[in-house]
Amino acid sequence: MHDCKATRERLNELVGSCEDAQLLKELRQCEACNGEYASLRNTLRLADQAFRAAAPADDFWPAYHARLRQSLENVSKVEAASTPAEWSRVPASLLAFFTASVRVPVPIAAILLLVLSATVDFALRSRRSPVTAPPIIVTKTVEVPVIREKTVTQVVYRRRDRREVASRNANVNPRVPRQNEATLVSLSGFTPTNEVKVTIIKGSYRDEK
Amino acid sequence: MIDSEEELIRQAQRADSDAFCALAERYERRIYSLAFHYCHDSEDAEDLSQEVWLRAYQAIRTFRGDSSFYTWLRRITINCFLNHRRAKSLVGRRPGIEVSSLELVSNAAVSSLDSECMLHNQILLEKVRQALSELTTQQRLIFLLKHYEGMTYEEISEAVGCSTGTAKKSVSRAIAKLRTRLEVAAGKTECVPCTAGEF
Repeated sequence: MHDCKATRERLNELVGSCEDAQLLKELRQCEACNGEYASLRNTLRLADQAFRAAAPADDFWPAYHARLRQSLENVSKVEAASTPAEWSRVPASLLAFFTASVRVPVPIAAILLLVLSATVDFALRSRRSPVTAPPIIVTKTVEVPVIREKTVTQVVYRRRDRREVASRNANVNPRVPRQNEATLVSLSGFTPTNEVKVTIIKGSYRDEK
Repeated sequence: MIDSEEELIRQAQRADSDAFCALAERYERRIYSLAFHYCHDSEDAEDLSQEVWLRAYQAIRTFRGDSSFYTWLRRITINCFLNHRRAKSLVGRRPGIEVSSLELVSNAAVSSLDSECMLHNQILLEKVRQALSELTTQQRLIFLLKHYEGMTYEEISEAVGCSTGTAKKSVSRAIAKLRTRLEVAAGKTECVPCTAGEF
């Protein structure tokens, strides 16, 4: 479906290129759009004619060249004067060497970059885990003291009467302090012997004769 | 005599001003005409085009041949034009018929034409100048780049620093101004649409 408004919006792009075959076909079918297109072409043709007519005469160019040459010489002098003395001492060949550049196609440059990055990566990895010599196994006997635990059982016998006497004394006189309790217990177990053996120790007293 | 452009560029990169002048002679008319239609003044156009060549001479060591020399030169030209616009506002400047510009019509070019045709061209040129002077400098530059240099909208938007929509509107506006000034009536069908790419 032909749309005159949409077609005319695209005419400016068509003028000068004539590449849109579909649009050209539509123009042939619509007289109004075709007239608009012809008007645009005529406008630009007249503009081109005016541009060509505005070209300067041939006698204009010698003076133009002379002025350009003079300007270039002035620029060269200014550049030479502003060049630092250090640079002027550097040999031109050395300067050209350091400022030289080489044009490398993008695929080759990409491959070179990949190879360089892989090399750097490999170098870094090998630096982190250095290769060491295999370990030497040495057999050595070491005496280790073994601690053995020893269980000692001790049987302690106690006399029952001690406990009975103690309980008896506790019933008779519960207010007696416990420190006297040991004395009583020790006397109750004493058994007198059948034979009396008297031992006289002389000189025990001062007035003894 | 060096004929190869590559050799001339190499010589110019070694600060050979003669080689650079030989290089400039190949494109000076194109650059000057572009500057003239941009400035609408022959003296401004000469100054602007000379500035383009000076900048190109100073920067030619940076030319690496990634694009054609003219593409590289055209970028310098556009930058010069944009800087010129900022430095010297030409917006609103409406020069009248300038005698010097009318004198620019080449005698050699019109030698085969009669005086009536010459006068016709002068009037035509003045109308085009008036139409373009009604545009802003950016619109004028965009129109010239499109229809004088044959650049695509994408190239123009990248070079000038605007959107492709702005570039299209500028061209559309310029054509509308030209149609009005040149009094080209719409609906005339004497021009048959081309089918093979000729214009």
